[in-house]
Amino acid sequence: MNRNATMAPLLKVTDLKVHYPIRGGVFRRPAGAVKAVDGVSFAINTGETFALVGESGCGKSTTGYATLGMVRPTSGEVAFLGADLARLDATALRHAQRDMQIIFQDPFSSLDPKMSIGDSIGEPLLVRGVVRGSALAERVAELLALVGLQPQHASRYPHEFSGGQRQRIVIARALALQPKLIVCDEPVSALDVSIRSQILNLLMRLQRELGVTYLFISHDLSVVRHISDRVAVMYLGHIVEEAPTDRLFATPTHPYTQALLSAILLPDPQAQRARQPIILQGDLPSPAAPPSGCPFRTRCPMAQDLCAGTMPELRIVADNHRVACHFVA
Amino acid sequence: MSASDLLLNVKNLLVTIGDAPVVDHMNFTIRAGETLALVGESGCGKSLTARAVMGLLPPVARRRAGTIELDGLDIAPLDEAKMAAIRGDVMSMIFQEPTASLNPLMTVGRQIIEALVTHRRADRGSAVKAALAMLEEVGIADAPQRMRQYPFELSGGMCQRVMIAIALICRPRLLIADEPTTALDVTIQAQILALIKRLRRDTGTGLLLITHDMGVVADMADRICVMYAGRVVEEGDVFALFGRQRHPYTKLLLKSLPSTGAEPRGLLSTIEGAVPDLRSWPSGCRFNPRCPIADDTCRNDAPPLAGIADTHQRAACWHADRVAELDAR
Repeated sequence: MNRNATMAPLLKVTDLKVHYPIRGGVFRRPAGAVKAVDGVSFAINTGETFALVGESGCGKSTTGYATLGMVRPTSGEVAFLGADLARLDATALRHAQRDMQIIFQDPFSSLDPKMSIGDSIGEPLLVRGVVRGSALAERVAELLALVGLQPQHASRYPHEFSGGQRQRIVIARALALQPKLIVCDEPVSALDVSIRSQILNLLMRLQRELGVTYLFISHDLSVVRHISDRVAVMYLGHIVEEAPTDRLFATPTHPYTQALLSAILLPDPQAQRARQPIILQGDLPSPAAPPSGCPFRTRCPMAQDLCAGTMPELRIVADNHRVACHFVA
Repeated sequence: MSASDLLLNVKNLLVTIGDAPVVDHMNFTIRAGETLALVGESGCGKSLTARAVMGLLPPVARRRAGTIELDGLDIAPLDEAKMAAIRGDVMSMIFQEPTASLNPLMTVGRQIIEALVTHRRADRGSAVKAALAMLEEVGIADAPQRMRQYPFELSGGMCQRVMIAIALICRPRLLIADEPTTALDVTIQAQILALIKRLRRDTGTGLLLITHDMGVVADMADRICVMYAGRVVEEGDVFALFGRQRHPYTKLLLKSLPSTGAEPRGLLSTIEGAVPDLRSWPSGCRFNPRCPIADDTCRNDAPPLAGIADTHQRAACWHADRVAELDAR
């Protein structure tokens, strides 16, 4: 994959940290921090789909929000088209954010129930002063058609639509300003199984037609395997492995990735029952009190003393394949 | 199979909300030690079927007809006192949201002991001993300490183990599990499914597994019963049914999954349209508006759930012999 490897990346995230203070005692003094994202670096090229996967609390959504400036990073750099977002002035930041949009998991809570869907889709265009009047109605109709809905739907309200249709509306709204990057935060997880493939197809078609880039956040590994070009696996605020999708699924190298992939349930009884899942012991540690050294060591079947003392670096093990484990050659 | 092998025999079950038949004349059986997966999308009636069996229908839903034989005794007409004596003893249930299903004001220990004291009239000492053993059986370390804790002090996976311990402490003949791992992370799902399999093997408990996840079905079930819009559309042995589907809905649902062989980044197979609303179910076969091979017969007459010659499968489709054609589309 990595189709545009020679070009500068669209988005480059360097050593991103998002820590939330925990306050305690009578005076609410900072008593520690939840390290939601703790030193994450990755780059996304124009036109590709880059997936962040991991379990709840691993920091994948926070990483996505920090990328868009929805949460303020504690430290680190988010560079969009070469410009560090933290150093832009208000006007330039607003301009950059036009090119970055987000689709959330729940299409029921991400639309205003009192706004017609035409108004919802047209709002970003009005706010940015892109078009008005009859041109606005035309653009809304165009966007509705683009996501497979009818122009006459514009006057209806969210409750008149099913979950899958609402997610189409949310996608139309995200596309209104012709963004370069869309963060998709679990975009099909709340949808019925028979609707998921419709929405995934829509996202893939839009990418082909419009050249939009996706940061795709998901816990569903079969979806990620299908839709993404490259994948980063997160655990407790860290990327533990990153590789082109085919390579990651063929040769998972970090012990956590191996366990995660082995736990995918195949919808085929013969194949599924022939598999031996790696059952990890224990629960995910709290990001407020992460283990010393390697974050995965408390559940890792290979952990040694070294892992408790030293945090493994994310090292290149092959072309575009990075792994953070002491025991990977 | 003799009648005495039947642990659960549900006949002609009709549950309505208002005038809508949300469970429309369901028939199914579970033999001792067998696992039946009840599969379908939101609103198909699978959870209401389970709740009807438990006698725990929500106030808006009513059972209008049908018998529910548990070990040969029809429990459908029993009053609440008699049902309360059966629930948690002969049959018990685990729910999707482990943190919401436990009593937040009661220690974990008391909640486990309660079942033994209520149903077995156990004295406190022996109940505590049995509860400790049960917690260890479901893989909870430091059982004596956990007994004194409240649900909020435990993780989601841990709460699900506690709920399983409560459900199994009286060694029920039938366990109903409603999406038992849907709210859990992938690696925790692997732990819980392994646990349910081990306990099922050790105790010979019959399992009614409610799920929308074909991977969970492929991993766990002996037989599968597919529901769509309140009706069973297809039923059979899990290996046979995954090998060949006789209803277009099952066929298209399995085909639409990203993990069943679609080209990476290629378009997925879809089911057009949306799951119908229970207030406006289509006439005839309820899948007909979304079915590529539907004709006038399908629009007018509801097909019966009929056996397929030379198989142990049954399907409710006028064109069961033509379902394989959908592969070519």
